[in-house]
This record gives sequence, C-alpha cells and structure tokens, in this order.
Amino acid sequence: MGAVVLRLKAPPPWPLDLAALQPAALAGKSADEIARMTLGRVAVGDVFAVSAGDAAELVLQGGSPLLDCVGAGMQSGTLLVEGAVGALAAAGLRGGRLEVRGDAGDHLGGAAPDSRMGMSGGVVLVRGNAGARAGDRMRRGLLIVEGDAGPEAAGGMIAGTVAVCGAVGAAPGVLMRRGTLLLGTPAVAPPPGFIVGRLAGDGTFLRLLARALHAVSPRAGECVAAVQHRWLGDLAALGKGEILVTGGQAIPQHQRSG
Amino acid sequence: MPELTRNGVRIDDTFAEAFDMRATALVITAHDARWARQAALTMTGFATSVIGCGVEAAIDAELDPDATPDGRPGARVLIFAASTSELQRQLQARVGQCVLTSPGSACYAGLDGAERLRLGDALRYFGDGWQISKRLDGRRYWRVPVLDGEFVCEGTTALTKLAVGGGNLLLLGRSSAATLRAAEAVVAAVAATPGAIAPFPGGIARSGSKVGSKYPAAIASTNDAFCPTLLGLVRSSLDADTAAVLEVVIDGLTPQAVGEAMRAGLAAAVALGPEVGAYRVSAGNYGGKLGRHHFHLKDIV
Repeated sequence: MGAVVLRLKAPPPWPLDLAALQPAALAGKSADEIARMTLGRVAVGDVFAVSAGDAAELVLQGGSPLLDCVGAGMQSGTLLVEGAVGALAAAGLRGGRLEVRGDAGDHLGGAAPDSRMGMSGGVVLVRGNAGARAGDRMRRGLLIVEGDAGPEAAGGMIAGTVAVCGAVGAAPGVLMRRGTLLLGTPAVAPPPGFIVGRLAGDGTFLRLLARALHAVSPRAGECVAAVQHRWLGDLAALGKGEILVTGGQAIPQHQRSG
Repeated sequence: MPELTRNGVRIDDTFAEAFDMRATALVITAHDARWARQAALTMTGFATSVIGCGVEAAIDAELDPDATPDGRPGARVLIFAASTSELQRQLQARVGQCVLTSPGSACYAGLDGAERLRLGDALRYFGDGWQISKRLDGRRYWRVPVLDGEFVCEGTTALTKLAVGGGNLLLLGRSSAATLRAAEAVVAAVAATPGAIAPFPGGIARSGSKVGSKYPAAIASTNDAFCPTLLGLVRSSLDADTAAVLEVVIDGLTPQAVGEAMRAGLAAAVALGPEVGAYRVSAGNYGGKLGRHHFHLKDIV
C-alpha cells in the first residue's frame, strides 16, 4: 500500500496544529480512522482527503503557511510536504526525516512552546525558505534550508548542524553554544559575538560534512565544498559553535568583530 | 607421513591449528598514501604476536580515495587480540600514540557490527575540552584540535568475535634464498586476500615456536623439529637437504578469510616450484587439542 497520503482539500481558514499527524502513528490505520482524528476543533477528514497506507511514510499534498507544527516531535518515519508549512515545523523532532517542498515558517526545527530544546535528531530538509529562528535551540540532527532563512538562524543552538544555502537574516547563530551553522551566501564579516577563526588545514571534517549533506541535498553539499571561512562563537554564550561561510572577502585572521 | 606433490613441491599431510580471536579493523587516512601508510605502519609496529605484543596487527589493504569515508587515500588495518579488554587497551594506546600523532591523519571504523570498541570516544579527551562531537549519517565523529588542524576520529569501531589467529604455512627450502623467495610469494598472496594479514616482519616468521620449554618460565620456545642446525640431535621433521624453514602466520577476520589466505599462499608457493622456491610445504599445529580451527593442507591445495 505504501505511504499514507493526505491531500489538502482547501487552504485552511485559520492555523491548524498538525503535530498529531505522525507518520509512524498513521501507518496501518484505515482511511476512516485517520479522517476521524481531530486537529483541535476540526477532524482530519474535514481538511484532508485521506488515502491510507501501511508504511511509516506520510505525504501531505498541498501546503499552507497556516499548517503549524508539521512533523513536530516526530521520532521516526518520513514526512513529505508538497507545499508550504507554517510555524514550528519539526519542532522538537527527534528522529526520522521531514522534507518540505515549499517554504517553512518561524521556529523551523525549534523548540516546542513547552520545551527548552529544539530538534534533537533526524533530518529536516526545506526546499524553499524558512522564517525566523530556524534551528532554535537545536540539540542534534541535521536541518537544511535550501533557500533563505530569516533572522537569528541557529539562535541558541546547543549542538547539531544547520545549513542555509541562501541568505540569512540578522544575527545568525546568536547565543549559539555548540554546533555548526553553514551559510551558503558569501558574507564579509562575522555577526556580533563571533570571531574570525580558522578552518582546519586538511579539511577532513569538511569532506565528511560535504558527503553527509550531499546525500540529503546536493545543493547543501556544494555549499560545504565552497566553504572558505570559519567563525567562532557566540562568545556571549559558550562560544564553541562555528559558522562555516562560503566565499566572501578575506578578513584578517583573529580579528575581533564587534 | 603421507604426502602429495604439486608442481614438484611436496605438501605434507598435516594441518595448521588456529584459534578464536577478537579483532577489529580501522581505516586510517591522510593527505596522501605515503602518510596514511606511515600512520598504519607505526600503529601496527611491534604487533607480531599476542605472546609479547598484546595484539597482532598489520595493514590489510591500501585504499583508494573513493573507498575511504573522507575521500582521501587510506589504509585498512586489522588488529587481533586474545581478549576484548586487551584489544580495547591496545587500540586506545596505539591509535593515541601512533595515529593521532601522525601528520594529517584521520581514523575511522573499518568494521561494522553491534559490539563496539571505543575509538574517538576514548581519545577525545586529548582535546582538553575543545574537542567537537559531530553526528553525521548515524555515526559520531570527534574533531580534536591538533597542531596541524583537526584530528578527525570516529567515536567507535566494531569488534568481531569470529576472528581466527594462527593459520600458518611452513616453507622448507634447499637454500636460504629459495626459502625466502617462497615465503615472500606466500606473503604477497596473503596480502592480496581481503580480511587476512600476516603480522610478522614483512609477513614472515623465522622463529617458529612450539608450546612450552625446558625452562618453566617460558611458555613458548624454538620449534626444534624444524631447526636445520638441530637435525640429528632432536626428533626432526626435516629432510637431510633442508637448508632453511620460514613460517608465514595468518590471522583473519573469519575462518573463511584464513582458509582463503592459506589457499592463496599455498598456491603461490606451489607455483614457484621446488628449485626457485620451497621444495616442501608443511604447517604447524599442537596436535589439534589447543585450537578448534584446523586447516588441512590437503583440503586447500
């Protein structure tokens, strides 16, 4: 039977919390059982045309910026969205894989409102753009935004890997403790709290990173291959994080940014 | 002793007696093949026999860049020990002293499996708090800052309990040069066999041993039955014209790998013929009571 498919009947008139739509939980349920599940005040069947499946794969056909918490708390399986998603997609995601073939809202892979930590495992791939604070307080896992990301990407990051192939908004990596933020757009100076660091001369780690990212997103893999700078910070936090930056103009080593 | 002959080379109707061992494998990479080989050779130095070295280790294969995790030239190393604890201890000491220290090196698991040995997870502390953990594709890597950049090391590697140590061939020649040629041919054949190594110097042991000794403190002593200078003094296994004997000891990740390496080695010795190489091939055993793996020469010729 394959994947469970939910086709959006019409754009929702108000925000919907889709956290209940977990690929593993939906596998094996009948179309009727899935349609009767509730999303706040509405039933799944009110919003989606349901096609049941037996695999831990969920496909959402059609998207909307009002679909919040898509894949939030996911632990396994794969979730593919053929369209846009709203805020808190992949919030607190622990495993499995979420792919969004569209844009994502704020707090992508971030912390759920009742949690201190963002995603702690798994793979998230957004083909479009992401809103503010992508990877907010992320602890582990891989988050790739092939388009642009809003302000404070990887803000408060605890560990893990965030890649933004396009441009980022203000203050990327703010209050980052550990982890890696990869920026695919050439930038000239590190953000506040970061210093200009050095790449390891042999580039061994970048080779591993490129290979791992390329398997998920060739575009992100190419960004790694083009990395020329490494910024260290946020020194206002633990300061053991890194921002890897492609291209850009040369900056004197160890120059403190302000 | 009944025997058979192939290409003029006599093959004794006897067997190599081999033992269960614990083993692991590593992939070591560097900027170029020379430095990958150097790190691998250094960490497998002084690893000829578990009796005195704790482990038996050698390079299994040199790896092209497309066969390594980081796309650099590398070498696959096999390490064998009698116990898991000794294997772990030696792994940590050898990688810490010989691979971490080698210019541009990186070190990865060379074996998959559920049972794990600590690799980078034990060596990361060298980073004094500046080490960075990174989990990619389900594998954990450590990045340890060192003087030429970063030492990248996978967190763990796998352990196998299916390994076998002590496969062997004894090459008997009518001159020292012919015996050495035969042993070299056997070593080349073993080297070409995946998952098997010959841990002695250049793959060859000239001091084959027997169990026990007249001296109570020694657990092993010279294999007098194969020593040419003792012919006539002891119960010898040699012929009147045996000039020299060399042994190739073989360890493998599986019994099949040892058997295959012995088969390839025996074929190489036979191919040389009795004039250029060994005129006779035998194997070492302890009567069959010590090791549960018996590789009979007549089965692999």
